[in-house]
Amino acid sequence: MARAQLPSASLHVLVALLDGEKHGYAVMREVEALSDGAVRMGAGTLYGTIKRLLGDGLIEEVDGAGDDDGDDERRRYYRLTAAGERAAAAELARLRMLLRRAQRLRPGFAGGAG
Amino acid sequence: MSDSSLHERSYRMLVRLYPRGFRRDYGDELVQFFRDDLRARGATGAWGRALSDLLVSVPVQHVEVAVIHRSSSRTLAMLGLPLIAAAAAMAFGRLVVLTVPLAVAFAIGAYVSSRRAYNEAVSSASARWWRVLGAGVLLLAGIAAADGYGPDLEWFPWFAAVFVWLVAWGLVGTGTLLAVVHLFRSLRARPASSL
Repeated sequence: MARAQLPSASLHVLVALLDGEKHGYAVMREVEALSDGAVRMGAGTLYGTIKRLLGDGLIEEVDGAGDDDGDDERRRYYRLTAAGERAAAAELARLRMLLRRAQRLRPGFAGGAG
Repeated sequence: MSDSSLHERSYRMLVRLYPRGFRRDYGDELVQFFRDDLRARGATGAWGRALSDLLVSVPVQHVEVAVIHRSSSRTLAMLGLPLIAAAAAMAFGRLVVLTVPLAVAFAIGAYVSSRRAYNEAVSSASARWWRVLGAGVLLLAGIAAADGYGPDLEWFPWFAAVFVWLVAWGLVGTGTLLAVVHLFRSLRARPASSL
């Protein structure tokens, strides 16, 4: 059965985790960088999204290796599961296909070759 | 007390607005996030993000709890009809005057029509009426501030604005409803305990 499309916040979090495990604040920073600052997440929104992704089995919690800023507080780290990678790939493919179809309807739309 | 710990303690108090389960699972993470933001962006930046996030995510988490963890009748009792009351109040343009009486009228109707289910629904929640009411008031204050003093929000979809507005009044209505129920329960419990 086809998975329902991912909410934007969920997709951004999954993509932010593509290069390895991160703690919550690092995920938020990565999401901001990925979206050129267009997607801004506060703590409640981020952890609400993380809770749903954990519940759906798209990410998992791992033991953190420690913080690179010398902070000794214990943090939770998250990483993609295989299902999360598939879901992110499927959603990005869907968006790519939508863009191609939009450009077929109007050549040159959103930077396409006119 | 240092400035940063004062900020952190203040934020930790606001985290209590979230539902208990969410707070238990992520409360420390929320505070850690705020602490990181405080270091990275300073107090103004951290509080700006934190408050705008609280305005949205607190109601969302309460709605999720209501929808996911309660039966449909409970969801209706706790959330649906106060929201309808808020919508009706908006339609008639008399917000404050109509919302609370409609919510209270619903409370009486629900009590009469399904006494047992209603009692179950409110038994654990009524004592926390102040959190729901506080979240609603906070959200309304945020809407008023954004409307009067905030940045240009023309990009914000109208249906999302209506939804946020309805959630705010729904929380106020639900909080008021729970407060009334809590008051009744307290009054009814008092004579029994004195026997």
